[in-house]
Amino acid sequence: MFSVLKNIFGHRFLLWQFIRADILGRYKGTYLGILWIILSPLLVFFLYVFIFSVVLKVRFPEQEGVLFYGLNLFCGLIAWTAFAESLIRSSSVILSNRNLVKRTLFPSEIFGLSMTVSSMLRFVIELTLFILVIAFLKYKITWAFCWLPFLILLQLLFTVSLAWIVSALSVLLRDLSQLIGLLLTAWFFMTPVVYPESMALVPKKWWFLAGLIHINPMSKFISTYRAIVLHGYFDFTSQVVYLIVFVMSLFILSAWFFNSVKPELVENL
Amino acid sequence: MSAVIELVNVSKKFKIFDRPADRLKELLSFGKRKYHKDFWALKDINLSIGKGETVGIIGINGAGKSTLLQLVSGILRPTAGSVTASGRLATLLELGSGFNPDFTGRENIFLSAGVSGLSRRGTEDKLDEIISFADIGEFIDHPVKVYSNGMYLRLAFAIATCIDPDILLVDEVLAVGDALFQQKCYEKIREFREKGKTILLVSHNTDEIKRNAGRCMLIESGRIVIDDTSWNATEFYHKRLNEMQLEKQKDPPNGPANGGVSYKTSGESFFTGEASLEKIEIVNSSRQVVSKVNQGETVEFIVSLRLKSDLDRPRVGLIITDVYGYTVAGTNTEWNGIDFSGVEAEKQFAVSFKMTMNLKAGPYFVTVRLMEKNGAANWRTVLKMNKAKEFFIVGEEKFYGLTDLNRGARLIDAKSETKRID
Repeated sequence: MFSVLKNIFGHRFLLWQFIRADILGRYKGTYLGILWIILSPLLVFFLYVFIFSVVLKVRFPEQEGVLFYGLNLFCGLIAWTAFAESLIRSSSVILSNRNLVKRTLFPSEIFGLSMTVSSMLRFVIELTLFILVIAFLKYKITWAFCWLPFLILLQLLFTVSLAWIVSALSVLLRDLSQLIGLLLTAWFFMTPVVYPESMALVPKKWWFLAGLIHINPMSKFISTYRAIVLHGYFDFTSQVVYLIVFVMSLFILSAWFFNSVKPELVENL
Repeated sequence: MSAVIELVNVSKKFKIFDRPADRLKELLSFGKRKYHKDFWALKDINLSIGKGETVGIIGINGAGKSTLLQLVSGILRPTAGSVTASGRLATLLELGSGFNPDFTGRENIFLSAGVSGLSRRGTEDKLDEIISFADIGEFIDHPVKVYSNGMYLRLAFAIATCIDPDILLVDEVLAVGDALFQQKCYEKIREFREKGKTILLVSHNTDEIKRNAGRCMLIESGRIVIDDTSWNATEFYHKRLNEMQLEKQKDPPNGPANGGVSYKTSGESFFTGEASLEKIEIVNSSRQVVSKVNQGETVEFIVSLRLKSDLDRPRVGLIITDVYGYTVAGTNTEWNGIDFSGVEAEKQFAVSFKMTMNLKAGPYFVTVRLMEKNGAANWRTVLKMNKAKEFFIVGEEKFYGLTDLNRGARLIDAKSETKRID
C-alpha cells in the first residue's frame, strides 16, 4: 500500500495535470461549457422527480410532498453519479492511454485516482450549490455540516479503491468495460437513491436483497449525507464505524491488488 | 568505471494466448492449467554499461532490442535475473508514444516531465529551453494529434534531453527527423557523451551507430551475439545479414525441385534457381582479399557463380551502392565484351571487374545481377543479390560528394582572365 501512496505523492504534479485536463477537456467544444457541471444532474433530477415522485408517488416518510422528495433525490443522486461515473470512466482509461503505459514509466495508479478525484470535485461543487439552495429554503445549517468533508474523503477512498480494481481488471478482462454499465445499474437499484432507505423492505424470500442494500457502503454514504444536509444532525453511530472499517480495508486490499497486477498490465496491453 | 546499467542473467518471457478467452480460463484455473505458449524475447543477457558510454544496439526485427530497452527503463520486469539502472532516465521509445494526443505540445511537456518525476517548478525552468530546441513554432500550443512525425520527434527529443537525464534510451526514432534536426540530435548526443551521460541507441542505420556509439551489441533471437566496438559489430552484422540472405538463396522454400523454374524474391533480391552466387571477393593490387579499400586504390571484384542450367548469352552485372541505396557505379560483362560461350552448366565460373575506388570514405555494398538474353532487345533476370557484400572505403582525402572526379584546383590571375573574356 505504501509504495502506491509514495508513487502518487511523487507524481502529484502529474496527477493534478490529469485532473485539470479531464475537467477542462470534458466540456471543451460544448456551447454551455462549464455550466454542464450543474446542468446534467439537474436534467436527470427533473426526469427522476417526474417519474418517481409525480407518476409513481414515491415519498420520503419524514415529510410529504414532491419538494422534499426532490431534495432527498438530488442529494443522493449527485453522490451516486460521482461514484458511478468514476468507475465507468476507470474501466476504459488505461486502455485509451495504453501508449503512456507501454512506452513510459507512467504511474498507472494515477488513472483511476484522477478519474475519481475529478468526479468527486464535481460532486463537491454540486453539493455546495445544493447547500445554498437548502439555506435559501430555510433549512437549518448546523455543526453537523462539518462532517461533510470527512464523509466526502471517505467516499473518495471508497471510490478510488474500486476504481483501481476496475481499471486493472478492465485490461486483464476486456469484457469488463462492457459489463460495468450493467453492474452499476444493478448497484443503483440496490442503493436508496430514488427511494428512502426505510422503503427497502423487500418481501421475505428476497432477504438477501435487503441485506445487500444495508451492507452497501453507498447506502450508508447517501443516508448520512441526507441526515446532515436535510435534517442537520450527524451521529457517530456503528454505521459510520462500519463505513470507516469497510473503506479502509478495501483501500488496503485494492492498493495491494493494484500493485501486484501492475507489471501484468504492460504485457497485456 | 562503475556500471550505470547492469543486467545479470536477465531473461524475459512473454505469454502468448491464442484467444482472449484462454487468458480468462488460465486466470480462473489459478495456475493449475496452462493455456499459453511461452515466448522468450530475451535469454540470459549479461551486460554492464559504464558511465559516459554510448552503446548501439542492432539486430533484425523481432530480435529483442526494444524489449531490452523496456527492461532497462523499468517498464517491463524481467522474468529472471536482475536489472539495475541508476540515475534519472529519459526514454524515446516509439514516436509520440509518451504523449497524450489531446494535450497540446506545451501540456505534454509538463506531462512527460511529470512522468520523469520533475516538479512543476523544475519543468517551468526548462520550458523555454525545450520549446526553443524543439523549434516547432506555434504548434507548441496545438494538440499533438495534429503533429507530423517530424514534429513529434522534435518535441520528444527536446523533452528527453532537456530534462537532464543520466541515462538516455533511444529506440529507432531519429530517422524521421530532417537532416538539419538530425544534425542537432547528434550534436546533443555528443554533448551528452562529453558530460559523462550514458546513452543506449537502437538503430537499423549502422552508419548512425558507427558515428555516435563507440560500442555496439548485436542481438539475435534474444541473445547478445557480439559486444564489441561499433565498427566490428556492424561489420559482423552485415556479414550475418548476407549469410542469412545466402541461406535463403541456397534453400528456396519451394525450390526448383518440383520441376520447373520457380521465382523467389527475398527483400529486393531475386532468384529463379537456375544459378547461384557462390562468393564475391575484393582483391587488391597485391593480390590480397580485403574488405577495406584505400581511397583511389584499384581493386578487382571477383564474382563466382554456378549455373544450374544452360543460359542463352548470359551477362553478369555489378553495381556499387552506398548506405543510402544510391547507385554509385556499375558495369556488366556485355559492355566489357566478355563472351560466355565456354561456360557450362554445373560448373563454377568467376568474373572479375576492375575498378578504381575514387570514393568518399564509408561503407558500400556490392549488388550482383545475372541476366539472360530474352529475344532481340530484352533481358531476363536469373539472379539478383542485393547488397551481397559490404566493403569499406578508408582514407582521409577531402572532397565534397561521393566521388572526386580527378579533382584539382589552382590559383589564377583573376584580372587577366576577366579581360580575356571581355
